[in-house]
Amino acid sequence: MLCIVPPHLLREIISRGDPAMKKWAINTITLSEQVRMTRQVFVADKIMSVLQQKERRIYDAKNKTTLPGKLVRMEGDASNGDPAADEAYNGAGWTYDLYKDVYGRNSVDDKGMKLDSTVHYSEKYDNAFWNGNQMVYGDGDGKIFDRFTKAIDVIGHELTHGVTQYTAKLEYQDQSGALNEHISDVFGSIVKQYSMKQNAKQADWLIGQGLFTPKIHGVALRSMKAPGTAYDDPLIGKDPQPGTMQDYNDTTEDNGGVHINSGIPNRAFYLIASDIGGYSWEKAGKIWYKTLDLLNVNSNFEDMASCTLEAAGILFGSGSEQESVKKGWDGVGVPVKK
Amino acid sequence: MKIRFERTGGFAGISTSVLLDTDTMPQNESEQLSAMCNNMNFFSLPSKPDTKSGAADLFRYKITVESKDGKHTVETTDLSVTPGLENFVNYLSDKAQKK
Ligand SMILES: [Zn+2]
Repeated sequence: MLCIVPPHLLREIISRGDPAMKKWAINTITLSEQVRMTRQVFVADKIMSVLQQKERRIYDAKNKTTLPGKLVRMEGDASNGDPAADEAYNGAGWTYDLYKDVYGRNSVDDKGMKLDSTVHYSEKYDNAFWNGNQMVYGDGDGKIFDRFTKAIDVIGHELTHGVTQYTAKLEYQDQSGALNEHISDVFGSIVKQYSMKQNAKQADWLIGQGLFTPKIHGVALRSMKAPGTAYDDPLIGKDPQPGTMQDYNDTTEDNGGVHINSGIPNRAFYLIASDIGGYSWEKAGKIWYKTLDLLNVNSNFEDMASCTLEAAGILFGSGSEQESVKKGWDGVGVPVKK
Repeated sequence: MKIRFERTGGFAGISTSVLLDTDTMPQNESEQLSAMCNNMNFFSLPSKPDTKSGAADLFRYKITVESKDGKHTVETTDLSVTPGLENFVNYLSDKAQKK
């Protein structure tokens, strides 16, 4: 068997074959390449990266607050019949696939980190969060909020906090914190668009659509297209997000308004993705993903604008994409410096 | 005893708050609340939470208790809350929701 199948075909089998075929091909390629004693390291790396697949684990906190809780589903397992666990599993899968297939990133840390999610956290818990290692979802109180896994963009949002933690490391305070939130909203919305094969025009650009119970007057938690219009209800008040620098909210609450002022860069992204057109994960998403390498912990909105312009230049040269980026930031009142 | 509770942050960024006064609530409830404060030694709890880097969308809880012993404010998050304080936070969150 040893030298009959050429290495390129073996690699093809490794990337496409069923598990048994893969194992056989990996053994074969390792042996045959070792016989040749050439490019061993390269081949070993290649095999390692092929072997790294998504690995999801879903835990149930059973309405307690101890993390991660009881393991209820692992990668490849059948559904356990719990809608929250299914949503967490499928949403993490779409998010992994987007990062892997479109941006070439292998999980949160780019090293194949396991994607852990805990559902049914605490009681009547109106929230979802990233704890630095995993995603956590509440069931909602049933009066204002339904369960937080219902919106796939929430799942993409939480996982992206992990990506930011391993890349730009934006400090969770004031403008750098609002950018951290913004990047999570951007890739959260992109995950939704990617899963529905929607282009920038077809997308709803909403964050958390479907999380409110029918009693609440609102369509979602945030709107990237029209910040400040997502909800208006006597029980919870009105969506406080600004869509331009003029209305920037200088507050000390919420780590300096990180979930409020993110409306400004969110709208800039909507304007830019719409101006470029097509699927937003393709060009605008790639510009934003590249920007993660250019930002630093204390970057502010103006830094974000110039870094996205730079990223557009690196990826697409000085063409219409850079023009779209400039126009978008102009549209929300953030000056774009070269 | 007066208790002010505020919850800010979280994925939705929607705040809630409630102000309680043990003088204006049923006696059994006011006793229960005073006992809760004493048991966890509220007045000696640290004012600021430990922050965990990388974590995001946590609720931030701010509790101020004012009594004859003085006034003390404790801020905490979902990840830094201690078991004793967690019961107090849950009790107050429930009050804020029912408000
Ligand atoms: Zn967030």
